Amino acid sequence: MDIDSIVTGVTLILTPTSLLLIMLSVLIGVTIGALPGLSSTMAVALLLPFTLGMEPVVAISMMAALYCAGTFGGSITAILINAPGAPPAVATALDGYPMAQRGEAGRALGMAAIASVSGGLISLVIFIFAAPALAAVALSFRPQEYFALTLFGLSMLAAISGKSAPRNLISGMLGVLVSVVGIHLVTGVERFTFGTTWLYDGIDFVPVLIGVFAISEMLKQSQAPEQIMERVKNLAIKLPGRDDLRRTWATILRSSGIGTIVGILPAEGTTVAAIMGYNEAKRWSKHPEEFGKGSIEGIAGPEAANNAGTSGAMVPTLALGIPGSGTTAVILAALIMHGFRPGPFLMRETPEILYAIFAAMLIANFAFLFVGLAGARVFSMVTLIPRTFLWPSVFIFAVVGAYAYNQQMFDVWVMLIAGLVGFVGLRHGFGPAPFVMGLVLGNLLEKNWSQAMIIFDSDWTLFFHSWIANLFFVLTALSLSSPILGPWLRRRFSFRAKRATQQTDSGS
Amino acid sequence: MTDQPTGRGDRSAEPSGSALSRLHRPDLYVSAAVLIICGLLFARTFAFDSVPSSLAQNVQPTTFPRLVLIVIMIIALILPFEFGQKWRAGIDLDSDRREPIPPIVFLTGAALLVFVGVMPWLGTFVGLLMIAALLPLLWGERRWKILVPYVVIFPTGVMWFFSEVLRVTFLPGIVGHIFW
Repeated sequence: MDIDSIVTGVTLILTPTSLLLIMLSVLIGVTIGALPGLSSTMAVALLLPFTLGMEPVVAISMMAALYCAGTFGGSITAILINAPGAPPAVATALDGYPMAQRGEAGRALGMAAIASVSGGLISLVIFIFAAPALAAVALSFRPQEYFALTLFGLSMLAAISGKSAPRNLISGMLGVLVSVVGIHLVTGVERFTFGTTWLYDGIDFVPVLIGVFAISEMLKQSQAPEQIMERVKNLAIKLPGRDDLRRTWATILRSSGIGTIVGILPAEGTTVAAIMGYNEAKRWSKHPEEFGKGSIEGIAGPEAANNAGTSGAMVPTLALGIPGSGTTAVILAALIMHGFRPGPFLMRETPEILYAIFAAMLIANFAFLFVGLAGARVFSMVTLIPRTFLWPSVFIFAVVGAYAYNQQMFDVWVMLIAGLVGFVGLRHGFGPAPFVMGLVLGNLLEKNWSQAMIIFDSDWTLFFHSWIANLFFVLTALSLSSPILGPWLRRRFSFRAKRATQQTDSGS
Repeated sequence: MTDQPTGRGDRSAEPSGSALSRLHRPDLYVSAAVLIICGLLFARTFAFDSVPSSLAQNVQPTTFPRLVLIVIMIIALILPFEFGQKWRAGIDLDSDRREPIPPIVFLTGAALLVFVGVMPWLGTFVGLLMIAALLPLLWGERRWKILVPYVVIFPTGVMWFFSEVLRVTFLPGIVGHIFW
């Protein structure tokens, strides 16, 4: 490990301005996370234009801090008012709200904060060792291996959380298609520009990201009725006692491991991690009957897992340039926007960036512990903001943010059209996260495919001469077939188990 | 979870129409729309400039987009057959689209298009003031004591930040650069 880079990276973050901005991001992140409907992905997309004039390292660190804090923020409203501010907090509400109803909101919030911080810290340690190691391996990758890896990343969209694998894949491939708009780098030919010069340089990430995440959600929210939430009174935050810690430490460790691994897998997100963390906590618990009625383990499991998932998702994003989730796809776009080369070259050329992000996430984890505990009551009140003011504000940020990026109205139109199309897509099950991942990975996919084809003199069979590429091709095939193979295997195993039980019963 | 059908296994609770038939009609339309769009885009690739093989280095500009379009079209063919299988697995693909889109969504969408359309003429600042005032009103907000300060303070604060701190030059419009 390069000590100089670590020191440089940490020094970049330990300036008063950087610390202040990271703290601000944590506050925004927890607030956004607490607000149902607003996601940390949307917040990071809206934050992008604000970071235009900033030091790139500070800008990326702010986004990483916001991502961590946003994941935690959702648990506050999940526990206090049974309204998960963010999808990863859905599992937390199952036991958090019953605890709050019986007057243990403070204990539940305390456990959520401790489990989140523990999960975040454990996965950060794994991140700091795994990312450089992964990047070192990836440095030996040639275009064909990179192409296979990117293809694998896209294929994981089939297994991503969501209702329909084909829809996720179509969304992702449409994102790839949008990424080819503009001048073809090898031949200089215009593709899908429809004769307009606006599209010569392609379609920028920023307005599209803002559109699909913010505008489509705004249109969805325009039909939602105003909700009146029941709030928990007499809230006194309480850190977990010795008994609670004794009961949950194993769950926290297990869920942190689950969260990190799920986070590292391309395209899987913190929501999947949280649900798996909850299920495993219940499976291993000595009191599974308490789950759903206010079990402290039912909070520790998903909270440790979803926060571990955030750091886990940063590993493939930074080390390989393959986003681990929707939010990290936006962070990846931000890295490109700020002139970095995500992937192994980031580690080789600017390792201090990686360590600065690590330091920022570490600070964010401690910051949201403090902010969450001290300000839980305040953050639970953000749901009082009427949607009639909240969403017009989001639209104003979206318009200004999309315009500010290149200071042209064309980007505002791109944002708006992306939002309108995104709303129609969302209604029919085509999520924005797979689209954005396709958009971000599209350039990488075509670039590596083109380079390999040039090297191979158009002989595509040479793609299969590399064992690493072959490994990723096999993983891609498995990933694509998982929606069919998974249920088939489950049915087969349950049939065998049933037959074995019948044989045992008839034998006895 | 919203994606769980309420009447799982209960045939009377099945969605109307061809819910469990082999072809699900709403998805048939979605699939057709995707196929038509992709077909048109595929046709468009024939209008790309042609490049001699020696210059293209074996990578014609049409090859990759065509591959992507073919993949999308193949996957789109699966969509109409997915509903029944998902329904049996306890997932309702129609949960988000069963209710018709309320008029307020169309109104909001149209308002957003109008706001952005008139912004170059009005200028960014006046445009934002208009958005801050009209969008809440459109959504039924009538608490004037909150609305008026919001209309004045929020867009002004955002404009100030972007203009003064981030040095972004906005569209002057009919009022010119009186403010920013």
